[in-house]
Amino acid sequence: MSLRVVLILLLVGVFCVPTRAEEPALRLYIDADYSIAKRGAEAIELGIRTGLAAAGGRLAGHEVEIVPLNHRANAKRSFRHMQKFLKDDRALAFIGGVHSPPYLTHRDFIHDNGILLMLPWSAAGPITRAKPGQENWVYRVSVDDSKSGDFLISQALDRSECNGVALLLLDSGWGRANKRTMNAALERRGQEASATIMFDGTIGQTEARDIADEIAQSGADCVIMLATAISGGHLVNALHASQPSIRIFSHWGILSGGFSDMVPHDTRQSAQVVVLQTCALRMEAQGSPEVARALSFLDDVTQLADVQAPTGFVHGYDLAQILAAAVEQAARSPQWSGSITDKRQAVRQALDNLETPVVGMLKTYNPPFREYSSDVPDAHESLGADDFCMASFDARGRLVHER
Amino acid sequence: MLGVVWFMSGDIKTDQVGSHPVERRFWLLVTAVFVLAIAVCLGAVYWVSKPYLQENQRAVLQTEVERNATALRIVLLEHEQLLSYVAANPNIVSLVVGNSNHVSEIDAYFQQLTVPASTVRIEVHDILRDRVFARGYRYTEAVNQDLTDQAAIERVLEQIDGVATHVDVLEQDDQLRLVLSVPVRQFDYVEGTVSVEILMPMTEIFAHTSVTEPPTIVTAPTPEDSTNAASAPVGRTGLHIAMVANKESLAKVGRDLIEAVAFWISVLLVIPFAVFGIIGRSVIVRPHLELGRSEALLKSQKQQLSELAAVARNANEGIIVTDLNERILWVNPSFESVNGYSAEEVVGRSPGSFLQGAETSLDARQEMRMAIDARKPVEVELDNFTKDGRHLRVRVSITPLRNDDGETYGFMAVQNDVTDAHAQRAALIEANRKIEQQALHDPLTGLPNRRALDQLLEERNAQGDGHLTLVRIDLDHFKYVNDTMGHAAGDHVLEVVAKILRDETKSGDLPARVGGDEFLVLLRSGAGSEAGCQLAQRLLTRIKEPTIFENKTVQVGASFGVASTLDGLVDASDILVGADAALYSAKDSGRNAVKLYSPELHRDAVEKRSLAAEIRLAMTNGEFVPYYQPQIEAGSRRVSGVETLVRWQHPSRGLLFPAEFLHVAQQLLVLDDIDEIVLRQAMEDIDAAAVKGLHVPKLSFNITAHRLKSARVVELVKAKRPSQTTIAFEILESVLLDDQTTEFKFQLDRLRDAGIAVEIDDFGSGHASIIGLMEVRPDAMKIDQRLIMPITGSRVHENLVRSLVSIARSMDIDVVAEGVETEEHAVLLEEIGVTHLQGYHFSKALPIDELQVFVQDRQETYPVRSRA
Repeated sequence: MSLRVVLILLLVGVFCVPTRAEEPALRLYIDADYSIAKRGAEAIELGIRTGLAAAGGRLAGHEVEIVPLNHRANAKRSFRHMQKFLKDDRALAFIGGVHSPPYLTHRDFIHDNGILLMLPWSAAGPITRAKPGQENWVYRVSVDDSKSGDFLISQALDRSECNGVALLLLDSGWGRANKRTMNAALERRGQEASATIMFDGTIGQTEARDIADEIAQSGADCVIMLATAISGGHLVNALHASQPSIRIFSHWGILSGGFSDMVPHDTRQSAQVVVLQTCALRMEAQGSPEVARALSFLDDVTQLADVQAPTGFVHGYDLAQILAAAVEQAARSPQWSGSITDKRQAVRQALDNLETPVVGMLKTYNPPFREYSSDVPDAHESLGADDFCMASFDARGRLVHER
Repeated sequence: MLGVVWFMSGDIKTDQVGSHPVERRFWLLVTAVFVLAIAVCLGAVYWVSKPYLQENQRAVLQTEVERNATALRIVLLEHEQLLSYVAANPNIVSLVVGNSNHVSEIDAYFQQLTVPASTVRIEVHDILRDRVFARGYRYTEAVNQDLTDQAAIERVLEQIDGVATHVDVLEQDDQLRLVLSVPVRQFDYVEGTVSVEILMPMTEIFAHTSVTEPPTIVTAPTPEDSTNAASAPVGRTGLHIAMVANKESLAKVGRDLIEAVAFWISVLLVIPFAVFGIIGRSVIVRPHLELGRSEALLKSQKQQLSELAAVARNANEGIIVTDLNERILWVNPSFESVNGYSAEEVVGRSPGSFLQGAETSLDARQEMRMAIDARKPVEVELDNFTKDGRHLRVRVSITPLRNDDGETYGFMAVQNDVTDAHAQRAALIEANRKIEQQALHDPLTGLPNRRALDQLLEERNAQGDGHLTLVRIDLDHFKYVNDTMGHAAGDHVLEVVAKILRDETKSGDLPARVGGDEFLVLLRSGAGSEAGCQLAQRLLTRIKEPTIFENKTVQVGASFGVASTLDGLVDASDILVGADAALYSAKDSGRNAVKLYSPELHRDAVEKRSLAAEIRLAMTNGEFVPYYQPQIEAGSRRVSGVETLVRWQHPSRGLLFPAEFLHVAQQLLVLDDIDEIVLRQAMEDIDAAAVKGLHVPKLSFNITAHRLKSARVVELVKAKRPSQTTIAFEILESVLLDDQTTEFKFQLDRLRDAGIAVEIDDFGSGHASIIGLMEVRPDAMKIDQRLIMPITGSRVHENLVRSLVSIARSMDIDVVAEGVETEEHAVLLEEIGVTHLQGYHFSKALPIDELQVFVQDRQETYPVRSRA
């Protein structure tokens, strides 16, 4: 709470500097799950604000207002936020967070209405891929699931030398997409999963125990898990109870909040629970000056592990940096003087053709994005498999770089 | 209860003491106190029971309302549990939050879902208040309408904590229609609603007794201090069941209670009051009444005696009072004045010893004696005699006198003088007897007349064995006696015949005069036709005997017809007809004869009756048809006319000639009608033939002198006459003899005015005179065939015909010869000068179609020569 207060005071101070006062404030909408994945949402917002602060606190001379909106993991509520965004003549960009379904569901609406959507924490592969001939308005500074599946298989088989891998996936669009990429990765290695289990997001302890027993019977010694924090907590506890020697490679879904509270440290350690991450922790460990700079904007924070859900913070920070650079570039274009729609279009074009490299916590983006076409499906992906790392939990439940 | 008292008091009143004012007042007082006692008791019951009833009412109301609230809660709970189960379904959650849209899976899910029978439909709404799924179970056509309103969804969405169930009542008349909504949650956050519409008959959920109104669902509880209403919450839905007391029903319960109490109090109180009434009446009322009644009775009796004595003294009737030994005790003044005896003279004597005489009817005396001995009242009419011997006819009423114990102690006789009335009644009876005698008897002969005979016939028909034998008598030559010797002689003959009838008939026979010279004897019962014939023969013998009237001999004869039902030919109703038929047969046989109605006569009668019926039918059916015998002009031999003759085309008997039916037709009085039918048909036939070019110059028709009087026949001819044919009426020669009256001449003139020719038929067959012929001046004369047929062999006949032709020629009239049998006849007659010929030599009478052929042949054989 104190962090929030500090940030607010900081921003108020920044925005109160009398610069080109005639420029109206621009608004950035943050559409995130402030209820179920509260920590993730707040980490994103903190990253955005810190990134903006690091970029000078303004966007092309405009004051910036952050408008946090809670979609509460409900795609419909998110859709309402999009409608609100479109009606706002000062809303420049729409920053989505934590969940993919809202943006998968309304992808066409987003492209067709020119909603400049930037995603710091949504992994579903298809989100950034538009239909042929469709203007692509979605940009991601996050993990792309089309690559994460292969990375996780690689971590389990190549790096950790698992003998049998069980796939334990949330029964949702996200889970089903990862099932395809993971099985493809296994197939490329001439293997197949010992077991593949799709589970419901509302799973409880009882169902978790049944699943654990089933996996134990499959002979798998490693589990690649894609779950929410709560369902993942139930499953890890059950898996460890059923088969103490089992090792768990988790997608980052468990970081949405509460996992480390549900799963004791001993269990985490015993099960060698590692979580897919981008490599901010590694960068920090390697003494990245940009990480240090970012953390310098935060009180009582000396390392990334102090930040809850650091992934959101890091991605939000880097996203804000890229956005600020793109706005600066767009502001020089004639379109910038037009309506808000024109401004969004100018920023989109700037994102596709950013002329200057952007230094972020994860890396220097040069350029972060390119102009999208079906031939260049990753054009709106700023991160790739090289930017993925695995992290583990320390005794306090904080993420630390897995060496 | 009042009725019981009134009934009881009424019983006593009518039974013993009547409606004396004292008693009425007594019973009124008893009744009033009785009613007052009941009223006081009811008042006490009312004030005591009222609080108890009110408390009981409140308790019943509360029990009812809680029971109904529980009933509704159970219904809602069933749906709530189902909806909660549905809301937890992952697919539903996913649908609501927009993560997926697996409607087919959801649809399948709802299909396998078992819902309560009261479920109308289930709907799912999302956070945007949009309906994302709906399924109807009843009235599915309404599914397209959104079930829940936005406010209802908002209310559910706002209830993040707690049970979060919301109920909206849509309708609660006969049916209860409500919507129950529960939240759809994702990670404990409400993201939508599942709602169910429930429809149930109110009576299926709620119950209420007669003391409460049906329950209603309300959102606010009823104030606790309410006495006539109560409510109970329906779980935690925020709804309440409210009920109010049925005031009418409660009032009825109160009334029933009061009535029941009133009845039993009345029943119980009636016993002491009845005891009081009965005893009070005996002890208080009755002695009081007895005294008053005795005084009143004494006074009344005195007055009655005084009035009776006055009546007896002043009565016009004689009154006698005797003791049981019939000794006179007292007589009134009227008795003294009527009978001439003073009271002193008769007291102590028996009335019969001086009032009655030898002429007094023994029957009346005996009737009186028997009644007196039996101590019974009697009324008789008898002859009495006054002191001076004058006869009196009196009506005496004797009544036994009885005391209060019913014992007879004497008699009272009332004597009423009816001498004058008796004499008048006797005179009236005698006068009636004479009138009766005159009505039923012939004043000249003293014999019963036809009326008496008819009465006797009726009596005999009604009482006896139904067998009758009649002798019908008709005097022969009686008219001659009357005409030649005067009516006095006729009357003498009738008296003589009547005497003969009386002398010759036996007891039981009834001779009667039924017409001028017609008599009839109805024989005694059992006498048959043989006895009738014997009687007739005796009568004939005596009637034929000459008698002397005013020194002149008078002689008549008689014809007799006898008929008897015992012969089996006629029944009683036809006996007169049978006797008549036999009588006519006797007259036909030459008079002075006796004829029995025999089987032969009966057969003739039956045949005639049958023929009569057939004639009537034939007239209707058009069976009477005209036949035509051609008349030929002597020189040219062309058809100069036809004579129309009637034939009966009988359906079974073939063609009948007039001789076979005309006599019956004459009796039936239908000759004129048949004539008219034939005349009409003949004119139509000849007219139709003329259209075909077959010309008949003259149509002759036989007609009686009587028929000439009818204007109708002339009118018919005028209306129907063929345009080129002369109509001629043939009248019998006899008319020249009898009917040379002014009227007859007028009728001839009328015929001629109408263009109808007149011909004399059968001339030479009767007594016609030349003068008569000159008077009539007919258009033609027809010489009778009896004169014509012999002329070829008889000079006398030839000369006679020549003379007649000469006469006709001198009078300038045509001559038609009938009976032309041969060509020799024709040639001779033509030579004699006869102008028209008719007979079998030319043709017999022909039906119209054959006549047409005949006329055509003649026209072709003897064409009309054009004048050069």
